[in-house]
Formats: sequence, structure tokens, C-alpha cells
Amino acid sequence: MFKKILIANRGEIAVRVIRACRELGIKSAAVYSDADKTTLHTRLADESYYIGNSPASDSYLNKEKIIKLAKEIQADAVHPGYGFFSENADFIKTLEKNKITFIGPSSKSVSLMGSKTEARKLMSKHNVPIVPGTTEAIKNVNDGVRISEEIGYPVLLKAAAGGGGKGMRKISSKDEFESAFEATKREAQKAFANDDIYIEKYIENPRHIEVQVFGDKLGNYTHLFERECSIQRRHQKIIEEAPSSFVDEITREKITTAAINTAKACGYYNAGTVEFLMDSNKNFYFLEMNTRLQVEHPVTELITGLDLVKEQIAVAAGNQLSFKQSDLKINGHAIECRIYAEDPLNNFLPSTGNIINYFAPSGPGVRVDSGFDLGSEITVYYDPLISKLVCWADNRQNAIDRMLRALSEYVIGGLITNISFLKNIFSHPLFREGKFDINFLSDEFMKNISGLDESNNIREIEKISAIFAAILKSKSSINNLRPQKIDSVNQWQEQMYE
Amino acid sequence: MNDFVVSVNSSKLNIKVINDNELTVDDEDIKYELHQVCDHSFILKLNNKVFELTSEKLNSDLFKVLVQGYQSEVTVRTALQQKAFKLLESSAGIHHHHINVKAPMPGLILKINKSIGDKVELGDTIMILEAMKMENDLKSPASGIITELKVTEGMPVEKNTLLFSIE
Repeated sequence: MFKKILIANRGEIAVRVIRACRELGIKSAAVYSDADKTTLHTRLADESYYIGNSPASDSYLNKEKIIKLAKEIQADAVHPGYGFFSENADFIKTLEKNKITFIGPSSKSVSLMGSKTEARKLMSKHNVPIVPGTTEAIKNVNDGVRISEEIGYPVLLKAAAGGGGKGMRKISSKDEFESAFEATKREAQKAFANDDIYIEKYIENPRHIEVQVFGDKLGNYTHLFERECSIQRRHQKIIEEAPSSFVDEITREKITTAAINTAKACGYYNAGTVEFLMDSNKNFYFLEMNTRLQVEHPVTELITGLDLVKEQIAVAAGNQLSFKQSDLKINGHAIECRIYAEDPLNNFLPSTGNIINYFAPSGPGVRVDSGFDLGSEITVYYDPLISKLVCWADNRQNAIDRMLRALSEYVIGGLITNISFLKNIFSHPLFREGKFDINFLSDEFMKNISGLDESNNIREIEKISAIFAAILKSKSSINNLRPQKIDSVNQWQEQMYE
Repeated sequence: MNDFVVSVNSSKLNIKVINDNELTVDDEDIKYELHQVCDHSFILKLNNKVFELTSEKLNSDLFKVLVQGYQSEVTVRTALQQKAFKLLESSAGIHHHHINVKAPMPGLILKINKSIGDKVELGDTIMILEAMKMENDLKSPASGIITELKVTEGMPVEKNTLLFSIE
């Protein structure tokens, strides 16, 4: 087993990995940039190392610095978290060359699944249904138009080196295709250093259903059931659940089998997630595979009782999976919501600042995975995720009500967060009934969002805020005992006629 | 006297702070207790309910208050200050409103949708700022005409860089 693991990440996922290391008796080494000097992961790790300036390229995304540090401190393994180097085959290969174990899949699996066109080709050879479309990059506009007409509009133009919902454009006609083709290639080149694009049929109102898979280096494959991740904004997930209230036993059997076939097709070991789109008839289509641990892994942990990070470490060390497929059962229902530093009433503009007050909820069935607390600085250099609030209960309705209870207790002062926005989603009848798809937040809900605050409750809260401010002012004016003079009124009048 | 006119969003309340335990809100009597926990954290008991509040004082009259997940800006003026403010407000129509819009955070100007001289409405997207891996639409805070455009597409900006002006 490893003696020391370097965690090449930050925020809540770094905290998550440090916790698993602590419980396994493995030394944890953290890295931090200027912006993260006082954050939680630096305090919880056994060793903390300054890695560079705030921009990720100077710090968390600086391969040379990270690997140099790993060697210096004699880390025998590196956990990449998610994002940053987690799906970078080159990083994995460099670690291997330096005899440091990467806690994740092989560079081969990562490369295979990293190209979305290669992955689609592979899936079509292994009995895994894919979204109708091309498995090669589109060579020119004419080919693209011909293929689009075969598939039928609307279609999606996607970056082959993209993923995570980035680098996609919906096209509804030939004219639109012609004008979008070059622009999409340019954007892909800029974002992913690769301008290959391909076409997929645009599936109307699909759900995003993904399956957690786990393999080991001894050739064992398991699935840990599915997750429902349809509540998204601009393709960024906001709420995830396990299991999906839409998936029945028969569909579950089919989709988890497809996911295992996917893992086998690329010789996968360690934790991974196979993402699918599911239409209203429960037909599902392979979207992509994420060859890493995902943000939303806690909901799977809560319904299965497993610790996925400890399992990742054990598998990376060469151990067999600690469980068999037949051991696994779905227990209850878990929901996670992502607490973001952003302003839902101002087009979700990211909010930055210092956390001046912090109180996280707890009690039965409530779990908070946070990377920040009092005194932490939320900056523009990284994504605005503050924490994940995860609730478990015996059924979906109770989990939702528990989530509302937990959200009402959560206090984060000093920035604007999406906590109120989340409360609105969990109170929404369609969400509660499980009637939604990936367009839930873009139509029905967003249209009414400004109207959501017009309630009696807001009047009450305004009254409390007003009373509080008045008391504060009265306390400060006791110290400034200058009586109001007639002169001060004249000053106002003078300013008027400037 | 601690006689205030308090504005929060579109509500206005008349609040009289009588002493450390009593106040009235629009003539409703309320018993209160205020405790400061630390720098920005307070406990306020109103009649039989206890609240936890986070507060930032922006200036002598303006407070940012977070309570029960709801953040608002609250202005507290004495009756005299309120009278003077009202006088100022009613005369403001004579002057031109010149509004300077600054960058809310560092980033890159991705796209500029308007030109100098364009007539814009409140809420129109004037330009797109790329920051924190996302595109942020910068919207017009008022209706008027764009009088200045201080940036160009592709330009990186710091927080508070002047972007454009409207009149």
C-alpha cells in the first residue's frame, strides 16, 4: 500500500481525497496556489506545499512543477481529483516513467475515450448504442450538410476533443450549418487545441443518465448503478441523484450492462462513469465516458455504502475490488446539489469575495463536502464551486424535504450563492414529481425565476433585515451624538443646484 | 431620536428604536435583543424568534444583510435625511444620468454587441466577458445611448476597468 499520496488538486475534492488517505493511514501531501493559501485542504493534509501563482497554468496545471514535487517529497502515488490532469494521458505516462502510480485508469483507456469520435467508433463495435451520427471528423461543409440531411435536422455539431458539454452547437437547417461550420471549428481549436468536429442527432428533451463503473487491475468489472443528472444549466450539472426515478429495473439492467461493456471495451480499471442520453421512451444512447472520479460520486456512495476514493486507492495499489456485483444493492435515495458562488438573479454572474460567515448544515442524512469555510477567498481563477450538499433518505420525497431543510440551515456570507435558487428548484412541483429533462432549467423554470421571489416570505425577511439595520445604525449613532442641525439641511439644498 | 426610514428593495418601513429591548415597525411594538457573535455575525431575537444574520456595513447608511439565505441592501436614514434625499431625487431629472460601467471581475472581452451612439434598453447585452471558464453577458443598467466604449474585443481587463458609459 502507498506510504504517501500527492493530491494534484484543490477545493472540495482535495479535501475528499485527504480524508480517505487519513482513514487509510496514508500520508497526504497537498498543493496550493496564492489564492488558496488559507483554504481547508491545506490545513487538513499532513504536508502542504506552495505550488505557484493563482493562474492554474502556474500551479495546478503545471505538469513539471507537480511531478518535480512528487519526486522530491517521495510520493509513491498521485491522485488527480477531477478536472486538471485527471484525464490527461500525457501526465499519466510521465508519472509512469517516474515510477509514481497514477490513481485512476491507464493512459490507454484515457486516450481511447478522450477522442469522442474514437469512443463512438469503439462503442458501435461493442454493442453499445450510440447517438446516431458520425464516428469520423467532418472533412468539409458539403460532407457535413449531406450527413445532416441523412440524419435529419436538428443536429448537434460537437468538438471531437471536447466533452463535459463544452464545444457544441445546435443546427436546425442547411443554412445554419454552413455558417456555423467554420465558427465551431475555430472554437474547438481554441478550447481544445484540436479542430475536429463531428455530428450527432439532436435528441429532443433527453435525460442525462450516467452509470458509475469500477474495474480493478485484475480484470474484474462492476457497476454501481446509475445517476440522474438532468438538472443542468448551460450543460453544467447542478443537481444529481441516485438512483434515477425514471429508470425501471429492466432499463437499469440494460443500461448498466451497456456501461460494463463500455468499460471492458477500453480495458478500464479504477473509477469511471459512462454517460448516456435517454429519450422519453427509455431508449438510451452512449454520449461519452469520463475516465475519472466525478464530482457527483457522493450520491453513489450514499446509496451503496461504499467509499469510492478508498476503493480507488486500493485498486491503484493492485488490490482486487473489495466487493462483488452481487453484494451491491440500492439503499434509499440520495440527492446532491452544487453550491456555486454565482448570482442567479444576475444571469449567474460569478461572485467573488471572502467568506465572512460560514455555517454548514448537518444532522441525520446530511453530508457536506466543502473545500472552503470562514476566511476562504473565492476568486476568478477557478470554477465557482464552493461545496456539495448531499442528502440521503429512505425515499426520494424524504430526500427532497431533507435537502430543503439542509439548504435552509446553510449560511455562506460575503458572496452571492445559488442557495435560494436551489431551494426554488426543490420546491418546484415538476422537480418533485420527477418530471424533467435536460432542458428543465432553460425553459419552464428560468422564465419564471424573477417571479419566484414575490412571496410573503420575502416581505417578512425584508422586515427582519430592515429592523436589524436600524438597530445597528442606532447603536452607531449613540456614539456620534451630534444633533441634527438646520445647517445640514441647507447642505443638501446646495448640492441640488450644482 | 432613533427614528428611521428604512428602504429595502421596494419596501419602506418606519422604524423607531426606543432602547436596547424595544422598537416599533410601522407602529407595531416588537421586543428585541441583539448579540454580536464576531465581526460580521449577529444573533437577533424578535419577539419569540431568533435569527442569525451576516452583515457588512457599506457606509454609514448602507448595510448588506444576509438572513435566511436572502441577501439585500438596506438603507437606513433618519427622517430628516429621508426628506433631503427625496428633494435630491425629484431634482435629479434635470440632470443627465451619466453611468460608467466597470468590469465586475478580471477576464477577457469576448464580444462587443453595440457601438458608440447606439440606443440601448435596460437589460440589453452590451458585451460578453469571459471569466471563470464561462461567458458572462454584461447588461445595460439603464436605457440610454452608449457614449463611450473603452475596450475592444479580445482585450483582457482587470476588475473595475471602465468598460463603457451610457447617458
